[in-house]
Amino acid sequence: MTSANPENQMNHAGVSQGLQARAPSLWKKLLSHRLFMTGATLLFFMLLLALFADLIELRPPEKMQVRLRFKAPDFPYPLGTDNYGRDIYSRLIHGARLSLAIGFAVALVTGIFGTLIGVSAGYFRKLDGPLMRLMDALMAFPAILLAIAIAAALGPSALNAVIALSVVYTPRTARIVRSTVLVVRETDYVQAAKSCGARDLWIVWRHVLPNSLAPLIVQLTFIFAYAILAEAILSFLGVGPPPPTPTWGNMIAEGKDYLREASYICFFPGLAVALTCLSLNLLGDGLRDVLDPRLRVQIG
Amino acid sequence: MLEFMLRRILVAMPVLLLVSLISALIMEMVPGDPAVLLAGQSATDAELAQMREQLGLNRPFLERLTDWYLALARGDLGDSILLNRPVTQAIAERVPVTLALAGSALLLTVLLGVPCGVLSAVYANTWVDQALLTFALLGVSIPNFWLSLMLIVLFGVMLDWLPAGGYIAFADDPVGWVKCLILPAFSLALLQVGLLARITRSTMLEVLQQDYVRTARAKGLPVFMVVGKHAFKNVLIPVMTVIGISFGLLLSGSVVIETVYSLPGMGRLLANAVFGRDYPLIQGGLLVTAAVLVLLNLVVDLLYVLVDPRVKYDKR
Repeated sequence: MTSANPENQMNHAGVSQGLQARAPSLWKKLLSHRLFMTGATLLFFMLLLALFADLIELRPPEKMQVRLRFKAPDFPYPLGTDNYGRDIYSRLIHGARLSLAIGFAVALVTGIFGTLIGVSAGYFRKLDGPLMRLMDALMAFPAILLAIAIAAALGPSALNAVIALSVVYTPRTARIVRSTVLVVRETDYVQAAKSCGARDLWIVWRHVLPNSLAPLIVQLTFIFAYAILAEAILSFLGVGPPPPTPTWGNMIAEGKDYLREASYICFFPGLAVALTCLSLNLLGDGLRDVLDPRLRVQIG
Repeated sequence: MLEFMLRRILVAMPVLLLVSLISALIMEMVPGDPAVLLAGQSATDAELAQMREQLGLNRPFLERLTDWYLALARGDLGDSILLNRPVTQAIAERVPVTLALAGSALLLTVLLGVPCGVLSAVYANTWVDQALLTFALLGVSIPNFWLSLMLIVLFGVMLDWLPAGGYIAFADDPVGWVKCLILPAFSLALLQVGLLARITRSTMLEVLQQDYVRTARAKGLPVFMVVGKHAFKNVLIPVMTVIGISFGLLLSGSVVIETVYSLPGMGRLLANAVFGRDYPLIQGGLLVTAAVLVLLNLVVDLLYVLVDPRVKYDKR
């Protein structure tokens, strides 16, 4: 890196010059990336809603009041009430909690298994054939159909939705990790470490993993977004967390029978899904611009 | 070429074998007794026994699997429980609807996605680019089943321009056929338009930096000639891969869209099979769709050779 930069010189005092030395400039780049910051702000707002849902709710999300059915968005109920007289706003922010939790869980599980499989296939070449054929087989299924089949087989619940979606998205992550590892394992520093007699696991941990992280992080941001979309689809079709749990997909599913009279029941949860996915996609794009050197050259 | 094809088919075989194994295993994953689920709690012992017999649950898994493969070798996927007819027949009946939907969505995807991407690259980092990219990003973020509902409200209910759902066969009424496909195809295509536009843009940007593009510009060719002739040809290859992938994604996306618009296609057939726990239909349907996707990838690989004479598979 540019050693003329005083900030970096301070870091050079430390031993490692890898990510640490680059860290401040990465942060700066991210902070000045307009789209990344838009996404980050949006996501942060959603996170706040989800975290403090219990405090900022107007009524308990599952409380029904027949007298108050189908109130259009207005003063006491800013987003209106649904077919059971439940407050849509309160259900929406509780739904945010579940959607974000499921999306994050899927990204996490996918990240762990995708890395394990991807590194095994990419670094230990004997495992490559069998592992990747299995991944190919899983990817041969239409993603949503496989998720629906698994979720339906396991039974409708939030945990099973996470399992189903992780099975669907792990192969895609594994493939990306593998392709990065294939490049990294041929680099001089890995070959050097090998010739010094370093053990494989140590090389993987110390050299291969840190240098394969960037594409993985970008990919996981997108998986987070896909998972939120897919969870909404599972809920919508009735194989997600069962009603009356307030998930965005459930809310849309319940509202779809009242499209003529009260389309707002469907409108707001869908908008929430769209905004959350948009924020994550912006975030992922920003990360890719900053982390992926190939694209950086192209744009810069 | 022939050797390459054979090699690819050979690689595809174990994948398809695994695919069939996985679809069989999903059925095994179901907690509890599938016979009870299908026959209902109030079923008598005799009815349950009959149901187990029909599903083959009274035999060990491996034996059932072997039978299933033997039947498959004869082109028989078993009988659907819900529909009470051969799985192959049920699927064959629904395929045209799904193909019509996915095909028209693909047409929309290419017609919208490629021009958007090219424009975006030519006007890179201007407001045109920003606007198109935002549109692409929105397309990737909007849940298409929700968009469908909103489109139904707008065009089906409020404006009453297009049918809110249902399917009319082309043979019965060609105009009605087009009308009932517009909303579903658009809802299905939107996600892919975004993806295709983004890939086209980045590929085009890369190509526009090549020497031959600079040369073409330097000798005074107008921009649209350079972009349309020199650059576009080279954008085609990566874009074609994406179109191939897109078609696969459109086919799988049709599960949700067909459900929302109540189109009698393969996606809805399989979704209903999953909800009704129609195992033979699920197993057969998953295998058929996966096989189609594998074949599709093969076709895309072969198309490369036709588009780009530089790609030769026989030489290593």
